[in-house]
Amino acid sequence: MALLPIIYNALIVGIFIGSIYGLIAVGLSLVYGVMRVVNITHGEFVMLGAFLTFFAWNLFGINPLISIAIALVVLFFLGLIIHRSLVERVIGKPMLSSLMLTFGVSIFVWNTAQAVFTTNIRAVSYLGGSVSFVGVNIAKSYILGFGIAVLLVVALFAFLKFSRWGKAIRATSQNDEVAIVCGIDTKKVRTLAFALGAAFAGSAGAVVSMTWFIFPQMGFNYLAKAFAIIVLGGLGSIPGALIGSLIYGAAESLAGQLLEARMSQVIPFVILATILVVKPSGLFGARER
Amino acid sequence: MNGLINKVGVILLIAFSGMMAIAPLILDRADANVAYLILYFVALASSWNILSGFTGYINFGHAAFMGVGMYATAISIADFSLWWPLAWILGGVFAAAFAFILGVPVLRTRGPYFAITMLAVAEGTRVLFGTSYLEPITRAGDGIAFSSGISFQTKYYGMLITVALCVWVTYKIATSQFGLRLLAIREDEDAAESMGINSPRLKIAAFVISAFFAGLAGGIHSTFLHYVDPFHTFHIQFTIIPIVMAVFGGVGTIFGPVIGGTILQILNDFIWAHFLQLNMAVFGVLLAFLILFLPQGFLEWMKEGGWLAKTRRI
Repeated sequence: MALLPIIYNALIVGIFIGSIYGLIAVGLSLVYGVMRVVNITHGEFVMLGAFLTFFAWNLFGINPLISIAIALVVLFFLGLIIHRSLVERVIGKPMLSSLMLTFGVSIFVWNTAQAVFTTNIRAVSYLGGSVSFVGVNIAKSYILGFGIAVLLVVALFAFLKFSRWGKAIRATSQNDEVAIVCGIDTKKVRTLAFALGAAFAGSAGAVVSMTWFIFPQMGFNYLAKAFAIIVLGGLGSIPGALIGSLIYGAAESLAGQLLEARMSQVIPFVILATILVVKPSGLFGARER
Repeated sequence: MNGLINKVGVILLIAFSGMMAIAPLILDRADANVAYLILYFVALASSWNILSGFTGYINFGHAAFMGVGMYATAISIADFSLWWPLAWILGGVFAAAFAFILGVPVLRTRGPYFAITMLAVAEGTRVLFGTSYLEPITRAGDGIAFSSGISFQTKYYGMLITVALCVWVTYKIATSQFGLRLLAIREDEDAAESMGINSPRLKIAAFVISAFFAGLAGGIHSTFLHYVDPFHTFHIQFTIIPIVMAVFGGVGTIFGPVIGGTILQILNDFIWAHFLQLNMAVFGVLLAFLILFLPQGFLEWMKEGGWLAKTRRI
């Protein structure tokens, strides 16, 4: 088999996969930008969104497309509660505190999920089959994921650009002290950003449940991918996260084609290590302040 | 008053060491196993503390070093029928070498970058050990079953010596210039570098020492289990539990991980017996609770409350 068509195929598929990862990564990046917290629970939010969709479909016959919206809302409020009750307490403390705290919460969530949902591997077989797109067979669920990702990310951009709260988020992200001086309630902004991050992870989880297998411990894989992506694009930068996710998706899909399939799990680390050695602030990131 | 409390502390420490030293002779096998596992987790917590406690670089991939040590020992006994003390030490040496190679790129990163990179390293190592690329060496998912022919008591005392060595090394570091420099890195790395501290070299040294003890403990433990495979060897619990233990006792203290390890392993044993499925969840909650309410750990809390003599914070 010729190599070139394989690479072409992998790159096209990679863009679709990357867009789903991008949906996860923007949330992580938003939270980091606003409060300098790397939320290790982010992967668990993806997992919860996925299981919510699965059970809504399996037990109540709710269409997974509707579940995307349900997951968005439910995870928004879950994020709100987790931020208000836990994460807000470690804002301004050393990085160690927020890392360990969200790590603890993450372990609690996946282990509880494992006990409640069992470790069975599940999937929502809603959108099967594939269609031909620029000469490549693409699973329908990938196209749906791409559409949802574009829709939500455009909505997020519009929100950040034009709404009052969006401006407050951007201001806090740029300089929280000056934001306070300007009369912005940064505590509320942080809560909103965290809840939005969780909501994006949740809706991404709903898409993931239609695309790949889901299981309680899946969260870590997505956290590692999202983290590699935002490091690639520069921590805290949302456009960077989007470009990073496309590059990442292409790299992962290529590696999956050319190497053993399981090796794709090692890709986040390889990308992370390379970027951090070559350009520690990410491809598009400014230097840490 | 402080003098008296200190004396009580020393007496308690000696009593504890004495108890651990005679435990396998007086306890039945089941209880001796508990004592052995206490030592094992104390070794992991204490070795984690050497890097993360002193430099503030939070290592979320400690299981990788323990796992590499386990594999090194298992392979050298199963395939090369090496003499067991040598195989144990090889476990430590391989883990240290792995840390050295890894440390050069990874320790360039800081804060969350380092933490999550290490999380990915542990996961990546697990996957790598299970792939067909390394199958001739690691036997992939099948794992390696082997018999070392060592008595339980030998393993127990091997682990005890490892713990003692690890604590002694921690003490030596804490009271040396090397330790002071590591603490300077923890407080402000840029400032430390501008004072002429060669931080990359020191961080790598601490990383290698930390990995050596994790690998040594892992090597001994692999002869205890007689079996290694990627799933169990690199399980994330061997990262989480030692971290919670070190945080519980006090990060960056000498005896904190020992106290945390002892108390929490007894708790862990209880959790295993009663809610096995939620084993990790309990530690997750405990970690979150400690970070929110006892961030300095149990030892510092005792000192604040006047139960222990106030000492210089390291």
